[in-house]
Amino acid sequence: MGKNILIIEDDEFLRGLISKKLASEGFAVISAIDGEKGIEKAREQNPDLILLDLLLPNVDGYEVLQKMKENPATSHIPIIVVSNLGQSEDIDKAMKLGATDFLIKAQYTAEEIVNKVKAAIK
Amino acid sequence: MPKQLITIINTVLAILMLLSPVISINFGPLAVYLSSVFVLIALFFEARYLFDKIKSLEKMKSVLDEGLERSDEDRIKTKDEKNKESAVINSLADGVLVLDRNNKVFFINIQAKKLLGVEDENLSKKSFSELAKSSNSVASFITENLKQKSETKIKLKNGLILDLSTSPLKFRDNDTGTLIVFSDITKQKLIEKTKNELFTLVAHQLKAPLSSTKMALKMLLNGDFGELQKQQKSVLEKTYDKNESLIFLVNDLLNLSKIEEGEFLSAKSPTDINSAVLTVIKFYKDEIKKKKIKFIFEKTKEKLPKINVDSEKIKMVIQNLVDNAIKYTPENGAITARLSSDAEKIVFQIKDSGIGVPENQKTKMFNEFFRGTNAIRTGAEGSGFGLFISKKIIEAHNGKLWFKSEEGKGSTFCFSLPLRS
Repeated sequence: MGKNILIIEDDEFLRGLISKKLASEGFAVISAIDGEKGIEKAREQNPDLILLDLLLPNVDGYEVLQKMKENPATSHIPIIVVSNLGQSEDIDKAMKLGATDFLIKAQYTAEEIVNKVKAAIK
Repeated sequence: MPKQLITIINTVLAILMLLSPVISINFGPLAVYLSSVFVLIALFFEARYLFDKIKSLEKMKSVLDEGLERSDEDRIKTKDEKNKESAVINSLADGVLVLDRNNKVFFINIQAKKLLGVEDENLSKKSFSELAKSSNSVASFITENLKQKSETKIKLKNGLILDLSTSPLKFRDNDTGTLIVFSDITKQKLIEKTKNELFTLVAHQLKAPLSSTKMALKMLLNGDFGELQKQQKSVLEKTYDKNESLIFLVNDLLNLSKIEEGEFLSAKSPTDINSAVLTVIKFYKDEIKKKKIKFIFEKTKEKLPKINVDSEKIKMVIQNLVDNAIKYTPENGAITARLSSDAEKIVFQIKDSGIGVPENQKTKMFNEFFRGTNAIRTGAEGSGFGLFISKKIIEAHNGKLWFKSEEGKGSTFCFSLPLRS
């Protein structure tokens, strides 16, 4: 059965690229353009993994992360943070909130991100 | 006739007249008349003498009077000037404190009193430690730098940030005091902080489109959007490289703003330098292969102890040095990296067979924005920040960063980090 990946990212172009890459590797992609929609879709569709950006409009990415982990319905879903924030304090904060991994966008290609997704789901 | 002669003649005549009955010499009226004349002449000269004396005394008096008047004027002028000087020094935005050779207060202006939080009107001759009650760091800095030239920035308990400078003040030979100047730079620092925050925000914003571009280009190159012709592939590869260097530049700029902020080093943790080096080398595996460079990493036989450092930043330094070595070494060159240690420090060394550093540019290598002319000529991308930031990082860890080089032959860059922080 194809795995579902929820991607919460407000940059449409970027979301499109990663989605395309995921699709080409056999994943089904669910998109959300902000935190609120992301939380909604996570609850509705129970994805196998979430790719989460931190700089989001309205609800901040950290808050989304926290809410997902606090809600028993979604707390089991592995969350990989994909963000351009890259200071150790930022990374620590995300990992403490329960993120599975933290990828600095500017250092990863779409292919590398998909590899990380595969490794996290296994 | 000279005064003394007349007086002598008079005295002689007077004696003779007194003795006349005894001697029975009758001087008669002529003698009396003559002596009267002599007395009158004597009186005349006496008078003239006295008159001259009076005149010269009067002259002296008027000179003295003039002198007194001038001295009064001078005193008023000096007082006036002193008042003006005081007014100037007291209206300075900076605090001024002057200590004499015994380190007692010689002069202190209003602003210094305010910045130190001292109320007393008369502080003259007090030892300065009595003044610096509001901040021990101020007192200890001054104590350590009496009669010397030094400068520091101190944050007071009340939130003010001061630029504090000391310098020797020579009054006369063997009489040297200390001049201390306090500058309130709180506002300045706030402006810098705001500027930095804005700068950091903008730099982060720049990263977003750069990341998307990176991914899009990589996917294009991978053929995710269809197969590419040779020319298309070539242009896209170059575009990808340019984009990568933009990403490096933005990262450098972000680091630069962190340096300016002074909150540069993140938390330190025990770090295995050996594995840090291996991680960096792995990152450059493809590049090394592409340029057919012979890359050797010699590690010491003994296991190196972990050292307490900001591991992200140290990795950045290693990356900077490795990146430079690869970038500026032509194809088929050789690079050797080595790690060693002694009782006090760990030393990382990287030797390349690259373009080297021109002799007359060696001193500029660690300057911001500086790139050697031969480096620029290679066409390789570079911001000029790398070594500048690396040096800051190493020095913030109390280490040293240095290099040896010969143009056209190669360079050896080294840094040392103390085992104990």
